[in-house]
Amino acid sequence: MSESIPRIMVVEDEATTALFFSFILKKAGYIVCSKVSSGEEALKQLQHIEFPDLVVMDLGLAGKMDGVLTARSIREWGPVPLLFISGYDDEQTHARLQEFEKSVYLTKPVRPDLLLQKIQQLLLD
Amino acid sequence: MSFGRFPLQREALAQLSKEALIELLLEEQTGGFNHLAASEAQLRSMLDSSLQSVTLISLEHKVLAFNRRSAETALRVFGQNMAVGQAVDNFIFPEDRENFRKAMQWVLQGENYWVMKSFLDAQQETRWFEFNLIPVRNAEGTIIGACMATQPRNELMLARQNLQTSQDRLQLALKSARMGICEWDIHQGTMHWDDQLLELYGAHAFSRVSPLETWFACIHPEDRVRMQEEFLSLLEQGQERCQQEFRIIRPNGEQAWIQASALVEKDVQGQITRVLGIQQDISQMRESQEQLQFQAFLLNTVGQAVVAVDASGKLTFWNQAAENLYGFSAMKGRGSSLFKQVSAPEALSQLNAISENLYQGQSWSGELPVRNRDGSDLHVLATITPLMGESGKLAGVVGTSSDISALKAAEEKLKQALQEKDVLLRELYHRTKNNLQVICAMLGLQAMVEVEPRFRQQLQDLENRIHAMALVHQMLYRSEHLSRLNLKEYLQQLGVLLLESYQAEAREIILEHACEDVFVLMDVAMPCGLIFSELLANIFKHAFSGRRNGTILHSLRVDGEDLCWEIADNGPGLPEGFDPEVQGNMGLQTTLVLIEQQLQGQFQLNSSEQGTCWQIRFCKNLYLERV
Repeated sequence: MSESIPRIMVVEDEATTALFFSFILKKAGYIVCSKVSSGEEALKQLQHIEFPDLVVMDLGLAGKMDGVLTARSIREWGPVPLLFISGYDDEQTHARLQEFEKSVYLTKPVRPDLLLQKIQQLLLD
Repeated sequence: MSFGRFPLQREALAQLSKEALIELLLEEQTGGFNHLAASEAQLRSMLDSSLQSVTLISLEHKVLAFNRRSAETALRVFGQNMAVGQAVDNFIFPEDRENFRKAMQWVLQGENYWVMKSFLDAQQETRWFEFNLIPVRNAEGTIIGACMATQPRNELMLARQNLQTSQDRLQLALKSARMGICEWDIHQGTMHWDDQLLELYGAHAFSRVSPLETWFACIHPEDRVRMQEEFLSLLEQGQERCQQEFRIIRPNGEQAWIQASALVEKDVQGQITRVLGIQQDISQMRESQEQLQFQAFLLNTVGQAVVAVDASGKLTFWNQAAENLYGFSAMKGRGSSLFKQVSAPEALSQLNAISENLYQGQSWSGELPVRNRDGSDLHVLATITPLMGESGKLAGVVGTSSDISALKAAEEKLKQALQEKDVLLRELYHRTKNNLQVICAMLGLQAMVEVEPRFRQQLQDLENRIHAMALVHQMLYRSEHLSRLNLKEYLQQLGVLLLESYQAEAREIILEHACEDVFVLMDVAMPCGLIFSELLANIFKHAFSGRRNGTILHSLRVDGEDLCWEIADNGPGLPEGFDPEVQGNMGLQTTLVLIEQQLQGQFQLNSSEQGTCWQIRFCKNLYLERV
């Protein structure tokens, strides 16, 4: 992690939730470098922006790629920390996320303090 | 007067001289004697050639004459030479002499006497003789003695004995077969009964010959007319034989089934001379037949397929249900055994394992894949039972089976439906949580722009309530049951969330749980979560104001069908006279509504300087399961 303000990409297809996360992150002092609603859009954005320090990734996304597929593609670019968020909370989902090191999984609805706490931990690791 | 060879005329005699007459008389006498001697020789020759022993006996019971056979018999049996003038007693066994004397008295009075006697010969073998004693009369008809003719009758008696033995055997056979013999005399309109038949009908009082009507009267009224018609038909239509079954009613009221077989005998003109019959009591046979028919009917009535297989695997029996299920009749002539045709290839290893059990005399029950006549695959629920022979070896197998293909298909559909339901429910929980996330986001966004701390706190309280509701969905989502959750675990997790939300840990507020495991529907868990959130929020905000630490005791206890729930703090207590229904804020009033209306419970609020305690009681099974 650089000394500069961490840059965070938010991938969330629910606009209100995405906006809420962005506000919280900004209020906590982070830079929301990108806020997109699909995996395809996220990968496209990554070609034009500076690579983020952390990605907040919803698992269910608009478009053909879900959060896991998108995360795999992003990880091909670099070992960025991932904070997965989803309404799903079953063993199958947990198993799918086992492959991702340096990642945290939170279930919706996410409490802002918990969100910030986990982001802070990921950035410090 | 007649003198032998020729008659002499009185006139011719008168003309003869005395000497010539004497000479003639002498000549005639010599010739007469000669003639007489010749006649006696002829007679003796005849008697000697007879196979019978013949002895002439005088009135004084002495031997007058006898033939050669008689002499031989006397010598052989009594060891004496017979001679004229001997007492006949010498040739009669001592034990028979009295009877002989009586017989002689009888004969000498003009009657004939006949008797069969047996003796043991020198070889100690029984010899039978027929004795005939008849009176002998002179020319005047006066009885002058008796003639005893004796003839060996061994063969006759043997034949008679054989006949008697055969008759005895026949009677025994008839008796053991419960058969009787009868003869219908159609001219006289009578029936002749033998002893066995009388016993069969229980009609000991009947005469051996009785009118046909007597027999018909014994026949059951429901069969009587039929039998009368059949009997008439037998006589009129010229049948040679017929067989009928009918019921009789014995004099003691018992019923019996009789099978009667009749044989018609005719003369050369074709006229019926007699009708012979054999009647048999077939009650037991009918009963067995009826039982077998009933069992066969039962076997064909049951919905389960029943098949029997011999030790070689050959099908020996199957009922109608088996025919319907497998179609064995259509399989005949296809070469391989019927049993092999219904065995699905994938079941062969299973069948081998089952066979091992069967050889050990053990039954087997379970599901089996099979094939029907069309080669279609079926699933059956089968029970296979070994039939062990007397030697203890497997003699055959009986199998019952029911087609459970439809059941299996329904089960598969049900499983699929349950899986779909599971997926749908999980998707529903997921969407609910997403929606709750959106609401939380909106509240959060509003809280960010709200400058008034009081309003920000209210928004925070609202968000906590939403998280309490979301936690229910999360726990249901994770649970196997999808509609019930452990209230203890839920409230403990919610407590952690609330402690974090109100930063209570930083203030050294301890939440102690003393809860029992109790599973409740989400209809109960949801209001419990909201009540718990509200009461804990109030405690965090008011009970420990001005204090750095505090303790909250939380207990949950099952009391029969009720749950006793307590939330107590060790704060300074409520203001004196505090009435939550009047003075409580909106959150507290909502809590009371949830307790009294949604949970249909009661509460008690105890407050003192040592703290405040909420005691809530409600039925744990208030709602019916919905999913």
